[in-house]
Amino acid sequence: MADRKTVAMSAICVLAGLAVLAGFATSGGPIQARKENRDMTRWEDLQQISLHIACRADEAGTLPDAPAETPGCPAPPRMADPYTDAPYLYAPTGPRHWRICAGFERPQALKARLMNTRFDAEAGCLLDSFGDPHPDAETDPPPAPDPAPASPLDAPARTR
Amino acid sequence: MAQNSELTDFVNAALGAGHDRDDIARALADAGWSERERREALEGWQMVAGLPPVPRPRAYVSAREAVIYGLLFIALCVVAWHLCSLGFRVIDAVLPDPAALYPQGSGGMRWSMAALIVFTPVFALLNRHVAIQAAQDPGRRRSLVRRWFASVTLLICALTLLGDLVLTLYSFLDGELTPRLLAKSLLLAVVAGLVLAYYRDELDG
Repeated sequence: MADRKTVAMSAICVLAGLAVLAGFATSGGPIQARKENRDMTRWEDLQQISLHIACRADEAGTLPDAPAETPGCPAPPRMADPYTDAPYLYAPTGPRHWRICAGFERPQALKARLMNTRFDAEAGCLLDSFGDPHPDAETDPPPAPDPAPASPLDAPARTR
Repeated sequence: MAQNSELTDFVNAALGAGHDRDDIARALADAGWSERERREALEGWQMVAGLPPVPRPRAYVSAREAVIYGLLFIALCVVAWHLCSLGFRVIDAVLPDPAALYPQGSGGMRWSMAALIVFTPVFALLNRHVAIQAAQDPGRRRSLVRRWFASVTLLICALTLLGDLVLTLYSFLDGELTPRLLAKSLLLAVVAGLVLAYYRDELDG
């Protein structure tokens, strides 16, 4: 009969093996990891482009039509996906807001890694703005005064 | 327990000079040695007719064994740590927090997987090496280094289990004892319990 030490050692090794298998099942293995690393590169590219757009906007007071080098704002290092050659898509979404999109392979995993509210995982875009501490102020009108409670269940919370 | 060399030398000389054990014990008691110290010092020598006092086996320190047991200790610590770390992340993925703003990332998970893939075989091989050596030479079980590492590990395990229990009870009292936290506490207790079981016999050897 195996002694206590051998049983404990075997159990630790079995648990470690099961944990590694569960890790593979959860995180997706090296191919998925490679996709996530490529997405990280794309995200860094989008950030560089966004910095360039912000620089141009500060310079001119308005958003540029497209990224382009000026004497005061050097061009971003890359304007296309280095892995697929697909161009990154820049588009103003308002007088002070813009988005830059790329073809992300695992956007939800990137979202978890970044923990950044500027990343729209569903659309695969970086959202940014300039000269406004509240990016949502122009696109989202300020909330109207509270209407009457939608249901009786809401009423007690408002009176506290 | 390692003995004071002056005490050991004195007992050796006294026994060699033909003094009675009771007389030696009384002299040691008068000098302030405790009952346990006197008993261990006297039991360390065996009297055989026609021979000087014969030393009995006692704990020893070996630099070579410090490397082996140190590596075994570190390997076990790494395995236990990353087993818990990876287990916690898997639990977070299986039982996600509905209030979490962002999903669980997998970067740290891969680091723990890499550590486990490397250190688990190292731990198993070193354990096998130590077990074979101990079977060939039972005297190795008297290694002080081995006992010290076992003592430190048992201390860490005991503190971990107590801390785990406190956290679980606190979460229960605070109304935050979710299935996710319960699963993590259980995993921690199982790992700490296994490590404790692994080293428990070392202190008895």
